[in-house]
Amino acid sequence: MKKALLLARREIVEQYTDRGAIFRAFFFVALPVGIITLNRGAGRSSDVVILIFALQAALLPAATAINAAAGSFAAEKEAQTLVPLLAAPIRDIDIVAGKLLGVLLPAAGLSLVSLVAYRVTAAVIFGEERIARLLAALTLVGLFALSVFFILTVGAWVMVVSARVGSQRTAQQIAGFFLAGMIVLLSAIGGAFQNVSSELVLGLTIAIFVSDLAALELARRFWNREEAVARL
Amino acid sequence: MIEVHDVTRRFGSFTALSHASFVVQSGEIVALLGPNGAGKTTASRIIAGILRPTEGDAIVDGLSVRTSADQVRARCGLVTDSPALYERMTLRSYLTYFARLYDVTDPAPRIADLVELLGLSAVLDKKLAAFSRGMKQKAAIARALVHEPPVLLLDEPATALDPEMTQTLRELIVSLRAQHRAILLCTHDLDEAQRISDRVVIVDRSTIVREGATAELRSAGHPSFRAEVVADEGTIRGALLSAGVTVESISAVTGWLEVRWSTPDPAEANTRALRALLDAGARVISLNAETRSLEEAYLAIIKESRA
Repeated sequence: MKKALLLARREIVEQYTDRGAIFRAFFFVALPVGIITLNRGAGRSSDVVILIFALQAALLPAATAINAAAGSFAAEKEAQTLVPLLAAPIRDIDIVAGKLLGVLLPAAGLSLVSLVAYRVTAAVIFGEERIARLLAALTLVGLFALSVFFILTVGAWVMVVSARVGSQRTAQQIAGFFLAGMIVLLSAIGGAFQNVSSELVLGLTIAIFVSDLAALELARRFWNREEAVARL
Repeated sequence: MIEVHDVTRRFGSFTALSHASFVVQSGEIVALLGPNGAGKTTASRIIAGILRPTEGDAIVDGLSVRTSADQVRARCGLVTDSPALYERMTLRSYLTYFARLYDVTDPAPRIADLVELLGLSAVLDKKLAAFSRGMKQKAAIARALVHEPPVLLLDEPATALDPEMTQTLRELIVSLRAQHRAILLCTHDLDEAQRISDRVVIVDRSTIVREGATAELRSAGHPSFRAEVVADEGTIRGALLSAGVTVESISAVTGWLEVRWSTPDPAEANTRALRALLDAGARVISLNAETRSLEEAYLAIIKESRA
């Protein structure tokens, strides 16, 4: 686990020495805050709208994980930096765990910051009493847990794919499909449900958790040194 | 020490390496020569513990790559043709990172020694992206040596290096041999192999076709001889025919002819040839054994193996 953390740390530093990544992170944190601020007019600020935007505040930062996951293996393969890593005495599972943590930790951190920023902004705009009722601590914890599972799922799936494609560009294109799918999903949630109940959040969390298990099992089966080296 | 025992590696239906066996002793440089796609990189990756052999086994420093791949990796240093660095890191952070991956408990003194040895002290805190190609390759070598491995695997390490840097790298490899490391140099640079390797293993089309000491391979086959003779060609051919020596070539050089022949029994055949030439009235300026370059030997061996 020590080596997985070492790998994760390097991944995070690598991601955030890129100005584009910092800009994307800021954008995804600012977006829900901006949207709720623009939608504060009467009739556009129903409880449902506030909750849907809260869901977006939790999930949109996960988009940063998609790009990071796409680059995790594909970029290393392209730069040929994977060979020295594979030649080091690290277990396959530590490499996968390190790369997943490198994707998960910053995206989860952004999700938390986004949720807090959204909660504070919403309280300022709509009043603390209303927001305390709509976004109770348990709901916020649920939304954060949902975003963590979502990041883990998206990260694991994209990583499985990016370990098997030849270039970072291909991986990013595939990641783009994931991102598009995510936007469609969020829009569908907003359109399909008039009431975002805690049962819905719980149901989504369970569904994503099941998807996590499937993705991680696939990552474990598909990703190993043999596979990675054979494709270098 | 590296022992490769009857190793085969297949990727699906493609056989990248077939029944390869060779040994690299500690304090020895062995050149693994072969054309592109011959199986050199596959062999080095199996020895490095990155790839599992489909059949056979490789023993590195007493450990099997089949059963102890992780420990094998800890005992190998691998340098590839591409430096493959994390270019946003400084050299210090990069080497510290790999030292920790290799469980080096106190990396700082080791890193200081390495950068001193490789002439990189002045750029220790610079980002790797700013390094020249040669400096990047030196950084890759430092990475491979950071855990003081007893086995060093160099896969085309001098690719794209200028002659001065190649010379520096050569001196470094020779100095590492003096530290009793087993060094496998995978290359198709025959000049490089000839200069520094103690032994040569030639691989072609996934199969090892010849193995031996560098000098031994260069003199393999019947030894060749070159005589500088003043006489007409007909006289020379007649004399050597009567001596039972088969002429391989005669070429004109200003003032004399160069005559080449090869024989399995030089003491007997050369004496007869000289006597016959002198008896025929020819004047012999010199008679020398011809040494093949490693390149000539290599090309002859590859040609022979494909025949």
